[in-house]
Amino acid sequence: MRRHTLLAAALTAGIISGIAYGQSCPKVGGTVTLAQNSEPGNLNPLIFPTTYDTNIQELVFNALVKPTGDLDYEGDLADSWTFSKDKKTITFKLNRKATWHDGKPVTARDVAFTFTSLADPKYNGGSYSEVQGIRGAVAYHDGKAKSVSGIRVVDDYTISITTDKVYAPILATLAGIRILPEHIYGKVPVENWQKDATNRNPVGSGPFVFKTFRSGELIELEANKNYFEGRPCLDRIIVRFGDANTMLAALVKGEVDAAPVPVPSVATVKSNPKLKLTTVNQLSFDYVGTNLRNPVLADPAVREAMAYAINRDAMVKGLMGGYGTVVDTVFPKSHWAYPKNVERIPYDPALARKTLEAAGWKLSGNTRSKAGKTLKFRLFYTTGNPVRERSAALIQANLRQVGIQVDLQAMDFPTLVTYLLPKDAKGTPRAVRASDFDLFILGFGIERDPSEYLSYFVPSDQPPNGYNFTGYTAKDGGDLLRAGQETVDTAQRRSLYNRFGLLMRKQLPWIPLTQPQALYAHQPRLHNFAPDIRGVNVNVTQWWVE
Amino acid sequence: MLPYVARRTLQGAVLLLLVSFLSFAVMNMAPGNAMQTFINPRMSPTEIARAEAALGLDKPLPVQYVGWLGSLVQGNLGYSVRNGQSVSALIGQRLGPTLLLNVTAFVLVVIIALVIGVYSAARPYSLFDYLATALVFAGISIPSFFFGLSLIYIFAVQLGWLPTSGFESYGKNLSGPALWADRAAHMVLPVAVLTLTGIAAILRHVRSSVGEALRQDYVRTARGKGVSEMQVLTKHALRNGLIPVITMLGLSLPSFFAGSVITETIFAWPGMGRLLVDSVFARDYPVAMSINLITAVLVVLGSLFADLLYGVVDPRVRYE
Repeated sequence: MRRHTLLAAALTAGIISGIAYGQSCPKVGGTVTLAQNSEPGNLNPLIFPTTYDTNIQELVFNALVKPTGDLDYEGDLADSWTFSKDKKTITFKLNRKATWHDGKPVTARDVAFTFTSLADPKYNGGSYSEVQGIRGAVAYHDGKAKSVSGIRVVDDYTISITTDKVYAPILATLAGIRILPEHIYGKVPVENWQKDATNRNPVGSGPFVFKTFRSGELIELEANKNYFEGRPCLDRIIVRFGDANTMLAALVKGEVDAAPVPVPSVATVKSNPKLKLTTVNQLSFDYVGTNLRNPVLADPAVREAMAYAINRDAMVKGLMGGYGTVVDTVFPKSHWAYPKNVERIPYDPALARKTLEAAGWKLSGNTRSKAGKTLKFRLFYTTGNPVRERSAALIQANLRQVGIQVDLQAMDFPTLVTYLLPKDAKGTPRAVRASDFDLFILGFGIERDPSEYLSYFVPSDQPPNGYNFTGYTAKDGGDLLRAGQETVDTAQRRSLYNRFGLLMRKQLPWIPLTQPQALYAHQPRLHNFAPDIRGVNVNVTQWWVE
Repeated sequence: MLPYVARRTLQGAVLLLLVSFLSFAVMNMAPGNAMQTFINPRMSPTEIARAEAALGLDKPLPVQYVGWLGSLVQGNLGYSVRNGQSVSALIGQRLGPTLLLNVTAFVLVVIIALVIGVYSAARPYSLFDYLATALVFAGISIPSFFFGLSLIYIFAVQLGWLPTSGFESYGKNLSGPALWADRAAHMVLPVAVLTLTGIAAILRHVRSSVGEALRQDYVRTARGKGVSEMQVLTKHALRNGLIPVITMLGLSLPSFFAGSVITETIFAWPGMGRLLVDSVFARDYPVAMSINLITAVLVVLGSLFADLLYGVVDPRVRYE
């Protein structure tokens, strides 16, 4: 009986996706249990997606395109695409084999429905800015048009998207928008998506079909046997939610097949011959943000000296167990925009002191001062990440050695946000003042394309209009980013963002710290488990179990 | 009796209103709100503001409070900001596991605390009494997260006797008696933690209160009249000695509902305690407020219940 099933599966597989499938799936069937430290909020990918949500959503849904390992893009639901001559229109041909989990075909109308919904005046799931650049999206959003003129269904399997101006990150943007079936989500008014049962019972087109969501316990998914790229090797995936230490114990015991590993527990995993440890580069790094509205922090010498005084190697070695690397500019080293020729920021307290002396900051007692102003800052940092918490203490000690006094203030993320994106007494968002904060530690995850930086480094995007918390107003940075967004040629873009990276190294509105690696441990029975910069589930269809 | 109950109910209602207002105010005084946890580069601050407005988070606090109270009166606990689910549905899913865990632990705590407490009281300063006192100190002083993790390490990881965590063995599709046996195995460690940490307070009360009763004149009189020691203990001392304990038990009623935060977190138990913590960290106030309020209702009911039971156990206590 079992042999029959296997044979049938092997035959079907062979027919669906040819020899490649046979090579990657030595065995079909079985269940894998994954651990995640928090449960997803909701499973509609167009409503405030968090990492915990996305980890599940990417198993259930597809986008038009998906990133490759080197952050180029390949087809997902789209078979192919072509750009118009003026580079403003992109036409996608959809994969005709793609179907929704209820068996209906995925068509261009579903794609149009998804993009149009994001521009709907009543949509409030946070992703409107993703489609804002599409021609006519703003008019539709403001109620001045009945449809988005830049979204055109050519036929059942062809759709074209036209942007207002040349928009280089279009593929990156579209990779982040997972397509929903119109015949299901179209029945729910878009303003009710967040509360609707569909957000805990998603229907997609992806490699796994959603089965159950038990709050506080697990999400269960079943293999999509009709998946257009060939059925996954596994039959079932269970994602459990629980505290990191508990999940690690469950992994050691064999109740869980793969789990994230907190740095302090690496030794436990390494000493266990039964577990395999995988380290993954990430596209995120931590930095110290500076409030440039504060005249003391606006002095480049002060920022430079701080960068020299912070021992980032000690952070990597001592706090991150070596699982990470120092970054010298605002790009993670694993990103294509990282300028390879960037000059290292040295750890050199003597140079820091010299820089401050030369700029007139004289030491009296423990603190330096100049013209009545002292080098004394508050450093805000978020709790919940032990490495970052200890980094804050290290930074304080490092800076004290060169005569900069730092008061540490720990807070949770929503509280930090109230300083970075302040509101007035009536609750209306207002501009940031010099007195709101001095220094803060945050992480930045550059998810798809460096054009995401526009909101962080363009003068007009200071809060409440954007995320330029530091108040960076130098024209050259924003100009490079704008040019990057409007340049389609890959080599030219790389060069523009490289230059931006070098400029940030020089100007230091953000003092770059470290880039952590993500750590996962898994049972040897789970094969082909190979997370990379794109995430933990990137090759999920090829996982198989003994 | 009835006027007394009516008066207490009215007092309770006023108290609950006050509690709801205070917890609403305190929670909203914490800076930031649920939407701000979603901030990311591809979501402009305007969109965050729109979402806040859609949820009514931009309104002044008194307006938000009255709105919340209004829907509460209509029996609607609101929707979770984090996942859009109705709060009552969410609580419904989590209540069962919490009740299972806490009621089991409670029954064990009461039985063990009564047996050991009374025995200790009857034989103060004996070896047994010293051991019981040591147990109390251990229960009070071992933090439950440390105790819980140690139990997981010893009994689940090293010895492999019991599962580490969760409500049942996932992915095995058990049903019927096998499922209940499996759940029972998952309950052993968390129940052990809750029992050991919960015994301390009640055991101490039972011992001192029964011990006190044993030193009373009427007990001496009973002994003098030749009543057997067993009868002295059960008929005279226990009856009076257990009255204060009843109050304590009544007041532990809310923990059946609110669950145990740390134990549930460590054992990945899908209960109310974890739900409360998660919702507080996510600034998911509709969920946190509802749990707080229901807990407060149970405190009020629990103390009323304890007072009424007092009257039953000790007829000298009369309510007008």
